[in-house]
Amino acid sequence: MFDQHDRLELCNKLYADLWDLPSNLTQPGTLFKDIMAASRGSETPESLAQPRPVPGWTGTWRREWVMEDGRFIEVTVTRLADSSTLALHEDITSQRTAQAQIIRMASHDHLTGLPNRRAMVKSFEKLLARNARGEELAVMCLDLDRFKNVNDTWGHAMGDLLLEQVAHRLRACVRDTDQIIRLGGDEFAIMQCGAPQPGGSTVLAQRIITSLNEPFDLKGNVAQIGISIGVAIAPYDGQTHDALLKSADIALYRAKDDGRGVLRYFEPAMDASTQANRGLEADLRLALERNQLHLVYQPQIDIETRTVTAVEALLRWSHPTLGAISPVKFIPMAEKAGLIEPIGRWVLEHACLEACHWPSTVRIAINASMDQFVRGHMVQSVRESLSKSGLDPDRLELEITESLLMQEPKHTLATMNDLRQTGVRMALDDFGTGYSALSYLLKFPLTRIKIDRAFVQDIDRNPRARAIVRAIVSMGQSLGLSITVEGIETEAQLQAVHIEGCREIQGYLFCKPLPATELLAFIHQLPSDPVWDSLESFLGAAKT
Amino acid sequence: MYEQLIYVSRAAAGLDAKAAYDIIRVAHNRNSRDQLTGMLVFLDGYFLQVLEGRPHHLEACFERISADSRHTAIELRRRTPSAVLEFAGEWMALRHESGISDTTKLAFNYQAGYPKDTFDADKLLAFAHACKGDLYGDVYGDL
Repeated sequence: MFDQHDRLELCNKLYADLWDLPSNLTQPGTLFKDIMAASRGSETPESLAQPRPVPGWTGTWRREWVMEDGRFIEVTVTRLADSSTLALHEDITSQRTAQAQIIRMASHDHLTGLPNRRAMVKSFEKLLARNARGEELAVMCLDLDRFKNVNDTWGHAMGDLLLEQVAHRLRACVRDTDQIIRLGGDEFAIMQCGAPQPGGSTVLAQRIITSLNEPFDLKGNVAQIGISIGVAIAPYDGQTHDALLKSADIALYRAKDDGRGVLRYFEPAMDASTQANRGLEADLRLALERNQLHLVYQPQIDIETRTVTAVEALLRWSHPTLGAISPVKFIPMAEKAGLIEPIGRWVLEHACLEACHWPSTVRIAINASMDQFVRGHMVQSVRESLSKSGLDPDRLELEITESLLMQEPKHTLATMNDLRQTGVRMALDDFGTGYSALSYLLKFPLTRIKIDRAFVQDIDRNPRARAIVRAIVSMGQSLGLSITVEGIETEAQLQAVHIEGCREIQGYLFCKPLPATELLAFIHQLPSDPVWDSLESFLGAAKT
Repeated sequence: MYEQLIYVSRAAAGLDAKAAYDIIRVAHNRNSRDQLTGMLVFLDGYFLQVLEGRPHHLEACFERISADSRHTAIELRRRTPSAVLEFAGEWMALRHESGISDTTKLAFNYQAGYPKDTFDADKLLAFAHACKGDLYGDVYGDL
């Protein structure tokens, strides 16, 4: 307690301890300002900035000191009606530390120690203000490639360890003026200011991509990931942090689309198409469980025996509001969204079950995707589908593309050998459109080549296309491979490929893809179909 | 086998920073997809570009560049086959006014528009390399 002249009247022992006061300063009559002058601390700037009470005031006034040892002390001064004061002095260090911790936790990501989205909004405002003075600001959205694999393979603890290491590498790539933010999951953002744009962001992005391409050591496990980056630049691509982040995110989506591990700048034209695709991707996730996917079947026909030898299962998607979505559009989307594995498994199971209803001479051909081969459990899926349906493995033919053989040759070869062991056949799809390296035909355990429709389109008029088909057929025959020609739509095309030695064909001339319900009838009536009458002139009579 | 080409051109009147950015971002996205690399310098209203990559991509790209109304007086200064990419592993790098130092300009006795008699193809290429080095030095230190 102090009297009206701020002289000490009474204090307890705690007061002396709190301020670490020598005993002569705790005697009644000591002036408050002398006591404070002797203490090893100073009033905090925030406290000093408060308006001073006017003379004659009554009420409560809070002041705060920070001590040299880091403690915070709060003084609550209540001036009574007789002008004497009652001062409550309290150590508030633990409260303050907790508060600072809370503020930090609210604005920083716990795992990486990087600022989070909330903190980003604040710095954005500052940076955009500078930006208004003519400086360019690049906003980068970054997303790790193949991060999910690390989580799936080694668990979340390793995933977290990887994120910490990624944050560390990102810090090493940027300058002090650049800000890194963890947006959540494996998504980060960087705000780059003070560099000429877009050159500055190109250099930084390249540096980051190079750095993150280096393998990570996760307690002895080696993880190879990568990073995709989208960039938007203020003021051109947006004036607010929301608009800029959205633009950068759209550019990021394009980077992922273009094969990952690259940088894409936002272009206004990207906006519309990306929005539409994202909506569709979300719908595709639901398509499986809502039974919107179904199979149609296109027969492959032996023109000499006039019978169906195989049927290719083709995936279709009936969107509830948009109608039929082309597989050309949704298959790549499913691959990118990591949905091709469950979809592929569904196709295998359904097609094998369906094939059990057909004559035992008819094979089922199914397209296998890269993701199933490389990341999925292809061999296991095939074995399960075969045992569930009871289908003879010899009746199952998997169609793979050349890109699969090229991009992951080792892994693919091993998987193909395992599949051949189970008795399944392997066809090389779209032959002639890719690199068509002859070495594939020797190296991989193939049983069939499917000649792409591109060679068939004008085969009746183009001698070069004809020569290529002739070469493929003779090569296939000498290697003991069966040949199927796709895309036969006219009698002239059929006549040409027939002359070049092909007997198994697929195409609209005989049949477009059919629903399961119509397929069996087609298989049974084909040998007596009137179409053969008009073809007899060059095919001759049926051979059995 | 690759090809490298070097051309200079004059920017259309009134081409501002925003328009330059538009050119560059679209070019970056496309060139990155087509694996074209090189260097673009935009200085005093003139473009100098070194472009390299697979011949068919280079051909298509230069056709688009030639048809672009945002620049005129396009002069193809050299087009040669090359076994290696000089700017390999890089995207199209870009430097403009603020990223190019006076030291570089002085060292090359730089003149706006790169007159043919003083800037032959070799010198243009060397100048492009020097401009590229400028920004790395200024902003990010040596890589």
